[in-house]
Amino acid sequence: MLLRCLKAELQKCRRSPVWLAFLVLPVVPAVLGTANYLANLQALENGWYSLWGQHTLFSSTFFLPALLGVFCAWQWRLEHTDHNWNQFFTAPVPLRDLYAAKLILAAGISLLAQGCVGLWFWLGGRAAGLTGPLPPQLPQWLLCGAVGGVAVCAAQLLFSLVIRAFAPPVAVGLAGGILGLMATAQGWGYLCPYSLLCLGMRANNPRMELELPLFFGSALGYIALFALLALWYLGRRDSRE
Amino acid sequence: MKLLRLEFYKCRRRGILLICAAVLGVELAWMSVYSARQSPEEMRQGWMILLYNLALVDAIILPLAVATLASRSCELEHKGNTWKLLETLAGPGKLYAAKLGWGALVLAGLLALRSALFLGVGLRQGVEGPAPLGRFGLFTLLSWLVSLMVYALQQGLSMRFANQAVALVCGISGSFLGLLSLLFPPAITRCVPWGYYGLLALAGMDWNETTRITRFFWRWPAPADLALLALWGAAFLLAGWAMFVHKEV
Repeated sequence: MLLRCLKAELQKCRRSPVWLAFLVLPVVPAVLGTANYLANLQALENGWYSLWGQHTLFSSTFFLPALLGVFCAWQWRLEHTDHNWNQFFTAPVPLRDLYAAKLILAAGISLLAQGCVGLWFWLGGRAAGLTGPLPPQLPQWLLCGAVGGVAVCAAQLLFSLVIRAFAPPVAVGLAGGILGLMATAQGWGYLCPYSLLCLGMRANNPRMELELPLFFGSALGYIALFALLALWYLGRRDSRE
Repeated sequence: MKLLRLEFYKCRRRGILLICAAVLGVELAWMSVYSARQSPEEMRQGWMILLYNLALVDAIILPLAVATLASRSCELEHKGNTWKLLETLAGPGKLYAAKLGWGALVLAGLLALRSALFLGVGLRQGVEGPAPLGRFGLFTLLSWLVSLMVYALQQGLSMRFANQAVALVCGISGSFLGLLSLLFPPAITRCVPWGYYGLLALAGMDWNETTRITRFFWRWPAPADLALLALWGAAFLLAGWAMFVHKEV
């Protein structure tokens, strides 16, 4: 049943240009990060690692949470419009499968976003004239970033579900990213769902450290918490517009 | 005038105050984290640092906040399918002007409140020297003008596309470019509409590479930049107006 729900969600995304934002918008931080790297070559002598720092400097805190927020808001927008809640609630499918399909799709988009970040990182490095192989840890950075992104998506899905409008949840995403930055600066990064994205990507983290058990525990905990809250809310809400 | 008043009625219970409160809350949180780390020497330049940081926070938060407000105001017409009805009652140009006037008034209220709030914060923290009231007033006016220019862009997008994702993605890019443009050379910043928050800031920062001392200084916005700002605003206004007036509803 879950598989069918997932197929239905994919159907809803057909011919929608929403993925384009994830492919194209990471170009901006990549170009600027590469330019910044080239302008400060004497201070940044760590090759690929310095370039990674420049690429992820702002994108992981301000940019990606809000962008994932757009996708999540867009997913619920489909249900918020045209009396689709009636169909949503009368579909002969458990609510948890309907919700899980949305979360899995959001997780896929989070992975896609990280893939694009990695792709532009590689292209930026090539354009900057970096020789040598890519850092072997790159897949791990991207995967941890994607896991952090799923935690952000779970939070954003809940906000977009409760707030029946498009824009405010996205603004919450940006505010969450800023609060996450503050939490990370205070050393409370693992406690804030929005910090997990930049922690996972090792942004602003020159030593590239990450406490994996704590990170995964926190991410899974938040995903479970927001999913349960969303399901609880779905079970209680009515289908009026 | 009646149309403008109606815009306020339409936005009753739409959480506009909540959005404004969130903007103020995030700005306040940001500034309190920053000022907690200030050294006594820095406190002597307190007012300059305050205005410099406010311009920085503006560049990050206001693009998306403005996009949210514009989207809130236009989304309800898409949702209720009211464009056709409205345009039988008033000309599209007038509707466009009423929505823009609503945004201008809300932004003016928000920014005036913001400036008063941080003036109070500065006074309470005991920043040295007399409060630069004139500069605060000018700062409010300038950030209002830049926000209005961004609002014109966002309103155009929100009215043209029923799917608010378009306008919001533009707002996110704006927040991001607004922040990054503080690192650009000014020539490039002038090409980024959201860069004007930083470009027109009344305080500048000078980081000396050899002594590693940060120095702040007052500055005035260049008249050419103000003219460019007006040009951007006029371009967005005209484009948004033309797209809306010529749209089939």
